[in-house]
Amino acid sequence: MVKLPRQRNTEQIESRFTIIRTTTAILIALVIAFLLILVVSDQPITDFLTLLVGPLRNSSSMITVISKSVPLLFTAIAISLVYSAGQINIGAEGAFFAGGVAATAVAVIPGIPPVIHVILSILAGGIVGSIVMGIPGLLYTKFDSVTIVTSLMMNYVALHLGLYFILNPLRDPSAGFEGSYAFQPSAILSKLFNSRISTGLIIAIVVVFFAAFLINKTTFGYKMQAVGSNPRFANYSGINVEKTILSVSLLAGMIGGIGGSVEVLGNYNRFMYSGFTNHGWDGMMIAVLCRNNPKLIPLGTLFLAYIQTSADTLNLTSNIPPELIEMVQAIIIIFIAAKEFLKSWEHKAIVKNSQSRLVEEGVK
Amino acid sequence: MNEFLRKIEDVSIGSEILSMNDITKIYPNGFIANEDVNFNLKKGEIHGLVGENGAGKTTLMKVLFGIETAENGNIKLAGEKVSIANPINALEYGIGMVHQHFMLVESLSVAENMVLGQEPVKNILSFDKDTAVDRVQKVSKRFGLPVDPYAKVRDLSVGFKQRVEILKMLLHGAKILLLDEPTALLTPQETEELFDQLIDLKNEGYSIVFISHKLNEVKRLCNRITVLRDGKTIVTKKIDDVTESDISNLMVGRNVDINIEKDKAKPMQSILKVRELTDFNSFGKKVLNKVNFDVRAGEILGIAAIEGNGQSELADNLSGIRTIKEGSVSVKGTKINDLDIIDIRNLNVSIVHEDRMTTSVAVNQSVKTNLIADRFEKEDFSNIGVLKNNEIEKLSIDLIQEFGVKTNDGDSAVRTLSGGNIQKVVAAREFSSNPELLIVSQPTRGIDIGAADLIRRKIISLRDELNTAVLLFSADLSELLSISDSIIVLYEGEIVAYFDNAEDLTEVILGEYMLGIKKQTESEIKRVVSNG
Repeated sequence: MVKLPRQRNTEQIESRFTIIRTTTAILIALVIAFLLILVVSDQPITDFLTLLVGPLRNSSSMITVISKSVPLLFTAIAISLVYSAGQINIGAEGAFFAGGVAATAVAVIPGIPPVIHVILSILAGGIVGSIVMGIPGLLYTKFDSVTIVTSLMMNYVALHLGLYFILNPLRDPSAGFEGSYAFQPSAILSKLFNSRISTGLIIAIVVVFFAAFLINKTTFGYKMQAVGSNPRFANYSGINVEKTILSVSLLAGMIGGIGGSVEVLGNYNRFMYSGFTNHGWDGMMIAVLCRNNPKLIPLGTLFLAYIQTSADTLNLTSNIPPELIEMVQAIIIIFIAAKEFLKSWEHKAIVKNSQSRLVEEGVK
Repeated sequence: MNEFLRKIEDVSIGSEILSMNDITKIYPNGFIANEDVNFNLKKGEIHGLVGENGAGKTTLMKVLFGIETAENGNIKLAGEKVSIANPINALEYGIGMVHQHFMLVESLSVAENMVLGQEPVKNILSFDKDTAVDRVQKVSKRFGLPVDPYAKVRDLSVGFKQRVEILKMLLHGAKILLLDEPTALLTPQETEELFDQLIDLKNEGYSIVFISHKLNEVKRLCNRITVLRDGKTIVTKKIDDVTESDISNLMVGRNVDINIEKDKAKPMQSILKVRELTDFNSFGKKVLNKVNFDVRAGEILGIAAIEGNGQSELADNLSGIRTIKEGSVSVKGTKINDLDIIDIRNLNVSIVHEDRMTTSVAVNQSVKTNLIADRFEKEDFSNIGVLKNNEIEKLSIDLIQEFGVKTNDGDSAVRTLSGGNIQKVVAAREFSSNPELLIVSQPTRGIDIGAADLIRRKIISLRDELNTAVLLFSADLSELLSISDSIIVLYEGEIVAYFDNAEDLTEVILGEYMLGIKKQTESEIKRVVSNG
């Protein structure tokens, strides 16, 4: 029996090219990073190696990578949920910040039993996060407003309203700097194995599994994807498009808000942010990188946390500014977001595959 | 006139003006639309390009018009190899195409549309409207095809829009005209006019490629035909050497029974009752005016209307996609005016929407996902919000098999399927839920004969086996006449005729009512409302 060459279908080629596109984008970005380091650094090889493998050199840096990943997992999942439903809702930044503030407001109340205190604080953060991302969803369903604009604006509302509460009712005058009252010990998340990583990591992992399950295995996930891929089709099939969009926005906001709560309760003893934390924007970047697929998000998150840790190390060991790493991040995203990047190569592969299929069919 | 147009002029009538050799076109989704296709055109002939949908006719013409780039093969014009990179290029070579879906800007005037791409300019910057109108009038007079240059395209009938498209190509200097299914949307009367125009053009030495599904038209109009099947050239023949059934067999590669046999309907109780239904479009214009009718169990009621006479709005009102503004609609006695689509569907109503690609499917989702869109929340397929993947997989395999959907498996994205197979996915979903009422619009528009035949038979078997009440909207009059038991004609949003026996009808009679030339009396129309 003659064994035929492995037959690929078009979708396999497409997904193969998605991987090729992503790796090529990262490689190009690294080459550009190297060139930039070459220009600004007096020890380019050392610095480039630090960028590539710096965090692997000691366990403390690896723990930093994981610790940095925790909040990003929440925001990336939040963004990927709304994006899957076709909503370009970028309110995760505001949901994260306001969630942290709301958690703070509960966490400073004395006299609540330990575990319950944590749950109540996180819940408060989640609810406020829901409101931040839910409002743009509601505005879209009721008034057909442009979600990317309303959610961007909501971020500022969340930021400044949050800062108002932190700097007024919640401000600790004895702190000597602009921060809230200290959290009650009963509200602080415990650490895993005496490391710097909080139990928030476990919550984050649960959220990732929950999101993957929700999108792929439930009727709600089905509705989300139907609405995201073709709202007219969803409506015609009997899916309540508005309700679905609103629910996804609320859910995503809740996850973003929980992320903010977990971050402040897991790493600090009081609320000390004075502006955006960038976790929401980074989450967007990861969601785009992972094409909204919750299963890929841990990978994307680790990647981003890794190069951010590299950047921090570089900042300490060289004269390279951390802004350079931000540029590298941006370059990666630009190449991945460019859908036509490497398209002609992809088309050639598809053509070749189709032609070999023709030859095979001719043989049969 | 450029050098090439002169060369084309110099070709003598009856000799080869154009040839396409070994054309291969593969789409980005891997679909092989043309495989080593050969096609030639003689000067002064009307050449029929026929084949099932997905056979590659439109693709071949798009390659010729520079919209698609072929992966392989060459094009010779007046004996010389040319490469056509884009439509502007094609027009420079004297090739003009009239698309199935008109490429006109609705809000602009006829003159503005026609000069688009070669706009006359005065005072360096401003559009010279007078010259544009003048050019349009000249070309209109020259070819004896009157148009009003000042009229807005959105106010024109389909037939006139097409005339504008043809004139536009002539104005831009086309000597070779490619017409993609030009009669698809025309009434029989408009079709006659078009044919007269095309024959006049042919006699003046223009060469025409005529793409059509309608074999009687091809037989009447064309000098030669080329048959494509599955992206390959099957044969090129003189029209006198083949019969309609020969062409049909060549197209599908097997015998297809075009006439569908069915028993007489045995209508029972009314399932759908429409009373005084009135609707307005977004400009406040009345598009449906006090429409009354019933559809009974075990009966197929056809709706005949020229595009834009209220049939799309009617279908969307009945299926809940459009909110009912005035009047009332009930299904099995339940008033559906204020119901959501899911509640209407839960009354055992199935809906095939006329707009396949934008409404009936989600093209980027898998076949399986599309197949369960109407039932994923039913207890057979989910339990407390969690999908039952095994049951869904089984349903998908069964339906793909039953409806003969050609796909690798249920996980392939719908966009990788051909038009006929996509419609089979829609039919598989909508026909398999044991509907008591089926609202089906343009079920076979633009799909191949094999798929169309299957879908028509399935509709009739729903009527016979489940006593489904079927409301059929179709622009294909021969389909409407062959499947419907009774027929309503809509004209300007009003019912102007009701025929309780579709067998006695002809396309010509229907056409007269569809054009508003004839209208039945009140009492004749009233018969469509049952007393039961």
